[in-house]
Amino acid sequence: MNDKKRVLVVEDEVDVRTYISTLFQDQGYGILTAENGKEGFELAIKEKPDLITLDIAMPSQSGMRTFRMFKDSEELKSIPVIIITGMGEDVSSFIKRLKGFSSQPEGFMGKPIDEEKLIKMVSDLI
Amino acid sequence: MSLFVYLITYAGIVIFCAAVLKRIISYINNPMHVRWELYPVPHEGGGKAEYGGSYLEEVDWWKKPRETSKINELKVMAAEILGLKAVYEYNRPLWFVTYPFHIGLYFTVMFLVFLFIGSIAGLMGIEALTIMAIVKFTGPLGFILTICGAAGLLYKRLTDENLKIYSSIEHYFNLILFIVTMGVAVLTWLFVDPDFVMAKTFIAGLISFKLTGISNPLFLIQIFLIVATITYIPFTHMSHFFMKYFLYHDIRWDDKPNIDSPETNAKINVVLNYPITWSAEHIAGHGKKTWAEVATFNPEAQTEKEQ
Amino acid sequence: MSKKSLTINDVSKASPILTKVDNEDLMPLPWNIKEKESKDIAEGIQNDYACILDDVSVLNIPKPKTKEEEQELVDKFISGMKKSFSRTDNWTFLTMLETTMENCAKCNTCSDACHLYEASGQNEMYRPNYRTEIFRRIYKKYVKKEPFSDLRNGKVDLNWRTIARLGEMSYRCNICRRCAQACPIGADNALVAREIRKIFSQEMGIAPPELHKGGSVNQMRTGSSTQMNAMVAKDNVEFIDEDFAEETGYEFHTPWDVEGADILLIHNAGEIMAWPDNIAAFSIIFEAAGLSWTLSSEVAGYDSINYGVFYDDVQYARTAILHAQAAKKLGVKKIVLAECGHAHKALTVIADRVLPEGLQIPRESCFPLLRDIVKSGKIKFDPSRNNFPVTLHDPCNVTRLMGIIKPQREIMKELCPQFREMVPNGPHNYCCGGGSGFAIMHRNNIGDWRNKVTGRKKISQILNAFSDSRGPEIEKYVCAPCSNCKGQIRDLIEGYELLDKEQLTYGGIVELIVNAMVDVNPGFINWEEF
Ligand code: SF4
Ligand code: SF4
Repeated sequence: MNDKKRVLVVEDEVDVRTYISTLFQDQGYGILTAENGKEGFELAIKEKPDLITLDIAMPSQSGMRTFRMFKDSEELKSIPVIIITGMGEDVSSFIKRLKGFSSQPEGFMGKPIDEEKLIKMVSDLI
Repeated sequence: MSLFVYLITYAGIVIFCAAVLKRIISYINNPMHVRWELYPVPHEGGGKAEYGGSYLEEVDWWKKPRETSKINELKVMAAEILGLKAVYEYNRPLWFVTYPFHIGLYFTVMFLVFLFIGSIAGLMGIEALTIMAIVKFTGPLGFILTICGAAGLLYKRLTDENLKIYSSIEHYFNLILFIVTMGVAVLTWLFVDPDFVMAKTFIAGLISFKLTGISNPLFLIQIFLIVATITYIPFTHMSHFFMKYFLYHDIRWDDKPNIDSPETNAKINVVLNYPITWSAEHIAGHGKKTWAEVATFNPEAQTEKEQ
Repeated sequence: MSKKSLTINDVSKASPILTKVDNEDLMPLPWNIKEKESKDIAEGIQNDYACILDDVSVLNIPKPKTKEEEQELVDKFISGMKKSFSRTDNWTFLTMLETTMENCAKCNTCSDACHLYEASGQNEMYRPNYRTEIFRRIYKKYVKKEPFSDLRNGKVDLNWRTIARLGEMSYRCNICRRCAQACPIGADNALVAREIRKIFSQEMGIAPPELHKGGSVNQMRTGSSTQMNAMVAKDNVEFIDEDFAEETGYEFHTPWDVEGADILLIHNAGEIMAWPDNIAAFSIIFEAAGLSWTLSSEVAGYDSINYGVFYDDVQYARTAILHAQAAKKLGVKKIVLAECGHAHKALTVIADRVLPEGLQIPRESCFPLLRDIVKSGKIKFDPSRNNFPVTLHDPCNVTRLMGIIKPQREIMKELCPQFREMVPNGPHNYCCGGGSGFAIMHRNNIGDWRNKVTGRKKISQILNAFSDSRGPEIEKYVCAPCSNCKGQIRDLIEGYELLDKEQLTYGGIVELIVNAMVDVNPGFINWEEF
């Protein structure tokens, strides 16, 4: 498949990163990974993935800031982002509440990850 | 017979004192507990006690002089001891029976105290008419009020479905014991010793170790019952008559902060070095042995590093 | 006599459940507020957990599958109970526990003080003394081994059901200590609930997931029970600064990790994402007052929660020490606790005899400080901006357990022309129903139960306080200066649809202060969907 859809997984914990990547790989998606927000942003600019999954609690740069950078960037803002976090619904209410966030994440997934739901979410988006 | 009752009385007094002391000492010997006060704390000064306020209402409270009021505390204690205020406020139906019971006991204690004083006076050859008048007044009043209260309490415990669930045989036994003891005391007063002369002689005998002289069986039964009851009290929940002091002063109202107190710090040092043996994984799982070791250890930070 | 009459020994019987509160049992609410249908316990969990107390499962005790597992549950509990009465294992609370065991007169004077007992239509299981009595009889017979215990203290049948139900029952109490306040003797049934929770957590390793794994453990691992690490917290607060500076027209900047500042302010980190207004309001007020202050990005240094207070002394002590260490590292003069009640009590009162020398940095509540700021004249206020009916909820931990009553009221009187009290209030207040950890629990039908039973008394108090200003035309505000109370009151308002029907909203105290600040654009508080 030439036009294999590619997902960028931004997640600092190796185990979780591998787990999510494998999950998507099994579904036939191409995988890009980044272990922190900065790297994720640079990779996204370079590779223009079809979808991004993003962890929130990461060292050096938070997923919240990374998310804002994605959505503030003319080049990236149309790429759907799924936030994957154990932090709960408050993350989305926070993003909704603050005007500084120009848009909402396209998807939201709690931890532990509900595989079926996540796969469905991704296939609905791309 | 009379000698036997004398001996029983001595033994009873000793056991009573020992039991009370044991409870108090065991209380005092407990390790320092954490602060767990409950407001209103009546010794708070500066008008704070009235609305339940505390010194923590001030910025930089540790730098400010603490206003306290012993008088306020005494007022609250008086209302509680003499009026059973908490029961009056929160459980009025019970108050109507428990109040006569407690007041009856207070009069009985007064009776015993004044009888004791009267006996000493008698030994010294003083007639002490006023004192004996108080004895004659407080005794019968105390006995009768206690009987009424105990009977009322017994009736409540037997008929109130809510209390029944929480009442054990001991509750009924205790109340019946009071009714019988005080009943015999009333009979003795009515038919044997209306002026408490015999009682005075008995106590004088106790004090001066002249263990003879009284042979009236009803009187001796009365002494036996009173001694038995008094001896028994500290072994039951009725020990609250003295333990309440600690429950209020040392727990509920203990708001003493630790501001560079060497005494408290020494105690903290002791308790933190106690061993800890709780078995749950998050406590026992790291080979830490004392409270200090366990509490200053962050098992979660550790696992991150180990990974 | 209570409608659902139970005896002590019913707790051990092989019935499917012990009791249940039906809608018709419930204490009636004012204003004919309608009761919503509540969910049953999710099917799946009944197979895994011992759901044999009632129709809620808070503690989630794994269901024993074999006779051996049943016996193990009993044995472990008894072994834990022994430690509760050990002077070394339970030095913290031994004295209070022993005196409560020995001196209670079983007079039931404490019952009517309990909002759960009242709200449930006097269900025996909710009587403050019910769980204590079971605990006491087990203690006297199996641990203290009192001779003739059955006669003296009453019988108790000890089996796995007794233990499972007792454990779950320790989570049918808000540990608000209102019952203890009513006790003539000074016995403390709230404490007993907490001691049972401790045995389950400290000995058996069983605790509600929100408190332990998702709570205190997360806090020690990531820095905050919200799982926000320091980076996320800092970024979020920076976003809050930007957003609210624009919204309010007031430039401010929340300082982080300022060494040698006077004040280390510790928020309940849950506020950051759930109630950013509260974070912003604190920063605005502190900046306007010209204070020297900072937040800390150390582990637990930016999250004041200490769930150990609800269920575990060890987790409690660990967290208190982390808080003190954060302050020490920055060399601040004092710690000020923001609007979080249990954090107030945990760090100012209880920690007083736990923190070792060297870590005893002075700690105080934010309320006196805010009162002094409001009264100082440093900030200009226009109270007419707060000209809507406001009532004040008293967090138990701040009032009954700390005696901080007046500062909040002085602020109210200064800034809220239509302030009115709830009845009763101050140290005699009623718990919001979220106390002892419930506010953060939404699992299964716990949310329904909180609205129906635990929060029932509070919502009726709130409604009664506004009886002169009914209807959706009048905007009303419940000031609940505590994160957990706020969460519970939010759920009550949502559950009973009071924002739509009554324009009733809620928030903290700093929001009211900022709402009245002349230098801030009007409308800081709004009545939008939350
Ligand atoms: S705890 Fe106090 S009020 Fe409650 S039953 Fe015991 S003695 Fe009575
Ligand atoms: S602590 Fe509060 S909720 Fe618990 S039994 Fe006492 S009054 Fe009821």
